[in-house]
Amino acid sequence: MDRRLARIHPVAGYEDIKDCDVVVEAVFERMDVKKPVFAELDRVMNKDAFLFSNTSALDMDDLASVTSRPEKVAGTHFFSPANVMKLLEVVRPKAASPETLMTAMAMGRRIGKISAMAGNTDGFVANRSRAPFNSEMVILLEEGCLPEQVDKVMIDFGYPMGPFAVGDLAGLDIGAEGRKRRALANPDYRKLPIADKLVEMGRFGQKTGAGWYRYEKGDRTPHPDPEVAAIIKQVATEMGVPQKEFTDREILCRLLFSSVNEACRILEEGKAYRTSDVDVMWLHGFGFPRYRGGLFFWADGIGVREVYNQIASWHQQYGERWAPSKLLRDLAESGTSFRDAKPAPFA
Amino acid sequence: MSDKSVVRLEKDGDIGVIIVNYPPVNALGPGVADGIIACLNQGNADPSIKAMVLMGDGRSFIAGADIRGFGTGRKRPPLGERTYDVMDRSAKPVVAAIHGYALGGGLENAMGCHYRIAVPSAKVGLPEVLIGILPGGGGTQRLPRLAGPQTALEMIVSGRHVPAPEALKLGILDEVLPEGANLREAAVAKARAVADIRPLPRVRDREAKADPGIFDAMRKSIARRARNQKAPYNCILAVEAACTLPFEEGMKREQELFMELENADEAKGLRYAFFAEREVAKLPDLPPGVPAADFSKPAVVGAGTMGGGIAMSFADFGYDVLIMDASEEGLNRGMERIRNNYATSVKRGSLA
Repeated sequence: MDRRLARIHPVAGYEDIKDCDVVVEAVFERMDVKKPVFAELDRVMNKDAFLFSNTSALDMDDLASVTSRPEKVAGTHFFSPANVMKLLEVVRPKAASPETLMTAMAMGRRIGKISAMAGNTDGFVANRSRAPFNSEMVILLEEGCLPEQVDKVMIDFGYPMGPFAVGDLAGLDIGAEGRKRRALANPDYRKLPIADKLVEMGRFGQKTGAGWYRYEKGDRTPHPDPEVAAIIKQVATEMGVPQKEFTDREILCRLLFSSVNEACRILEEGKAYRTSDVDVMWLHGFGFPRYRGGLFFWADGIGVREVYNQIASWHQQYGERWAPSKLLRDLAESGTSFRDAKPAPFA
Repeated sequence: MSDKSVVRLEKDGDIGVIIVNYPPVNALGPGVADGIIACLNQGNADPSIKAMVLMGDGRSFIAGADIRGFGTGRKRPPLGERTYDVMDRSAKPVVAAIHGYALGGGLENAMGCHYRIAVPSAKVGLPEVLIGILPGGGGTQRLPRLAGPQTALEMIVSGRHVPAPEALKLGILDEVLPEGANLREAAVAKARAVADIRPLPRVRDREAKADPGIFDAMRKSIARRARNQKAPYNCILAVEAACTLPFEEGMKREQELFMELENADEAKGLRYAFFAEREVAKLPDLPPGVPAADFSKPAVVGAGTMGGGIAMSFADFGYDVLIMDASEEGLNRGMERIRNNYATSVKRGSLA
């Protein structure tokens, strides 16, 4: 421990790091905070130094543009906790040189990560492909599921933790901010009133002793909370959502198919190289069970046509958020597996 | 044997040195096992050879199986006709000389030998479980006999790589050479020193005795981590067989348990993940041959939770890293968090 700690040297100012050959910026995740930092780094750093940003969603082209060396800028998205999680998503701005991209990928490998290339799209590849899953799990509650029911299905599937318990661990306030921003920007944004209500009540997750579950003092075990069940019921009644019983299989497919569809869209836009890259990201960014190969490998086990048909039928039932991506439709029509899909050239 | 062969027999005086040459890491690709068998037979038939050495050319001993052949209907030689069987029947001693990796089929071949020596940087292990199968070349039967059932269970169920000095303590190796020693010379000397010792010490002739409780204890300890998986449980069953059945029957049991796994969805998913993780490094639309720049002085700006974790990642892999924060308070809090994270790892036993 002491040996490792001794390798981390705290310094107070930009002047102290000017001779470093690679910088990873990890300041607060807001463009107006990151831009001045990048401008300053560009000014002080040796002209050969690479400037990488640990961002989970911001536009890397925009950030690179404040420097005089956009060819030496790339995104390096670490997953939390950064010293534990193995995925490094390398985000590729338009101006980045091949050397910069190779260096960012190699840097990840040298520090024990698995580096995967992602295009510069909102949420990049890992989080963008995961986002519909995160919405769908809350929408399931409106229709009659409970958090513990969904979590059990996903744990049985092989995840180390259920997604609601993970939400409580990360903090529910974080997602709420993002939803507010997106709702303002897009009038058609699908709101998640149950999640918003919990946050309004101060239920931020483990750190406040209550979130999707309740927690006993000094213990991280999630306990199902009748208060949450009551809120769900109340919101569902207000929204007039018909209630139904769900099979485990339905819950699993609702969550994962929504992500398969979005990941197809990412590939058809040329924001990732291969379906197997998405799989690697799900294994090492989100704890997808390794013996199931990854999101697309698992979906291939079900079959492209069956996945497409189910998504098309949910499209009829639920509307636009389930519109099948073009790539998915093409694959289903030609009977091509996800594994053999040819994504668009990297854009 | 022609020089182009993937396995060749050279003579150092009265010692036959069998050298595997299947770059880059001497995986058990096409022709390797047959080549080893041919050389063992040749060495046994040659009256001027008293003992033999098995080693690898280039970067490694036999690193392991050739995974690309798995699940493709490849032919596996029947029991009794594999390299290990030929070693067991050998009238002359064979010394495994290990550098680099001896994993999976590599360690299984080494355990088929009568003696095992290694350089200090070598690593051994039976990582088959990580691709959803079990060591199907006698590994589950020989390792418990060599290192004891508890060690064998732990190694085979976790699949971890064991460094040579530890492998020596565990009884897997007979000798670890001093730093910088010449492996081939040492192995030839060892072969010469043991050439006349009879009976030949065969791992298969040893006995593996276990407290039957250890198998249930292991099943219990992996229950959460290994749910939905079969390979770890079959690994346990195979080691259990090594402790309850005669060697030949244990080998048959190992085969049965292996066959249940190779083409199961679990093994397919794990093999796929293994290759996907190699594919992901390729950036096919970049001009070929662009090297990554070397770096030696990383810096992290921002000492929050993420910045601290990133700095720890650099430090954990041997880099000196500067961490900067605009506020002195932020920097102090960040360093405090890093200290606490490391202290937690020490408490959990994952860091010393």
